[in-house]
Amino acid sequence: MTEFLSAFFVNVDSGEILRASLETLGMLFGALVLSIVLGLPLGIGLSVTSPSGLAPNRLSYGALSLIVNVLRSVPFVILFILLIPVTLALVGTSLGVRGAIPPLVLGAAPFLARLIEMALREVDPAVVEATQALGASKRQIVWRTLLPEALPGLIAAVTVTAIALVSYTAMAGVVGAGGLGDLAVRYGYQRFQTDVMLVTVVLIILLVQGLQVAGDALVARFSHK
Amino acid sequence: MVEINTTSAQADLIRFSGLSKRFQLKRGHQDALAGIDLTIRRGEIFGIIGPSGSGKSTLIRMINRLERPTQGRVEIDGVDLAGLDGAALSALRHKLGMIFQQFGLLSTKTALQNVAFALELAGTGTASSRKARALELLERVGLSAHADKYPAQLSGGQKQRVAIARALANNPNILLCDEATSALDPYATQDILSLLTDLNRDLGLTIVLVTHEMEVVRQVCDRVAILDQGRLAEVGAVADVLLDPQSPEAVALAAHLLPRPENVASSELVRLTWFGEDRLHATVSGLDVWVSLHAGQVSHLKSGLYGDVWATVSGPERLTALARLRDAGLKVGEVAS
Repeated sequence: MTEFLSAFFVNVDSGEILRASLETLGMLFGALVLSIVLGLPLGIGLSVTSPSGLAPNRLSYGALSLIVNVLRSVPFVILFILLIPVTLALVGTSLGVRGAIPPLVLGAAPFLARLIEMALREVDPAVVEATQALGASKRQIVWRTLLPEALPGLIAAVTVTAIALVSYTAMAGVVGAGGLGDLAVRYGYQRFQTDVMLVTVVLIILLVQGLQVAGDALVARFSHK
Repeated sequence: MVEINTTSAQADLIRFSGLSKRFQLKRGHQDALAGIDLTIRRGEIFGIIGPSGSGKSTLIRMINRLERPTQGRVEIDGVDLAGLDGAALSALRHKLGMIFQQFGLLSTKTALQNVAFALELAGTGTASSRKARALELLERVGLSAHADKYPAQLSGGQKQRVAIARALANNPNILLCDEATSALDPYATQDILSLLTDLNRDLGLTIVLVTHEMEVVRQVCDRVAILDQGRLAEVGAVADVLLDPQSPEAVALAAHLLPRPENVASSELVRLTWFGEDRLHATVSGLDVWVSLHAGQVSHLKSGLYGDVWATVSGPERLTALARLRDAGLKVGEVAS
């Protein structure tokens, strides 16, 4: 059995796989943290200024919405290439994990922002009104009511974004970012090494599965409905 | 800052004058309230009743400025609310408790944390003093055993009790109730209504209560305003409105409390209503008449007993009997000649 396996996975170099996995994890978590840093205020801004929000503002909502829509409508691979000058200016290289982070964040943050806007919209309006009647300021309503009440929804939004980022990192691999996607393309596709392809795909599936399970557990932990 | 003076001798506490609210719709507009003049007195339980769309919720929400008038004024203790914004508005709201049909409790906080939340928002006390005060309030509404439960673990009536405790946290002297019992079963409704009556009596709390149920008004209110399509149809003491309704809307509400029995075809069927002790049999005894009761109730208004029955009065001295009943102060309605 072992012999058969080592015969079948003849091209798999465990050192190479480990290095690629760490690159993928680095891109994923680096981009995820920065996407939250950027996406949360953007999502709050969308929610607050929306027509049914706490402080409706057609102009601000329209502008934020446009930025989000533009960034979301460009396919990620194209966004990555389009952003190369920006990436160079920001981190000095468009290659490797560092070069992948800016386009990953600009691809994922608007996506996360929309999901956050939706999660905040799901908060029971009766709770918001009751908080208002208690004399809360708008700032207090956002920080003390909307965000805590939406917490399970926010965690679910981050989970979905993390999973989207996994596939973005794979695409980024195609254009020089390294990681498991890069491995799959260079060995699995260009050199017909099906075994490498298989291993990378299984690893990516395990990663996605792990993220979903962890996200679901956190949602259950913070939900009291 | 708004100081609402509870000890003032002035009886009028809340005054609406010339109050109108127009909502702009996609096409045209809708007048939710049109020219309301109304005064609510200190220490009373004041009911605002009307069908949905009558503007009653809009009216009560004017008191804590969740809604702003298009025209007219709202004054609390002589202070015009028009100029209030920001911190002054927050200070006003800390002194006005409000409860809602859908409770509005934070699902991510326990009962205790929900009550303490009102104190946190107002910036009063330390964490431990807020907790002590919240426990005291939960005890006041009979829920101290459930302090650490989340709203999802409580019944509707219990949730509304938590909401009442939260509304009372900052020692308001006015409690606004917007359809507070409409989502509750009959038992929980009784429970909440008697709690409200107790609070009114023990704390001198002025309660403004919006409802679509005349039954609620009958049980707990001192006075009532009847709204219809944004206009004030009638306002008065509950007993007066029930016994001697002036407007078609009031007549309809009083009739709705005790519908005409459908299985009685007799032309001798009358509706008798009175305020105070039951005088029906004492008044007609000795006369050559038969009285049979078909439906009725003697119930407690806040101001005393209120009797309301459908009866057939028949026999040779029928008209004498009806005249005596009228003389005794009973109201005799729907008499076929």
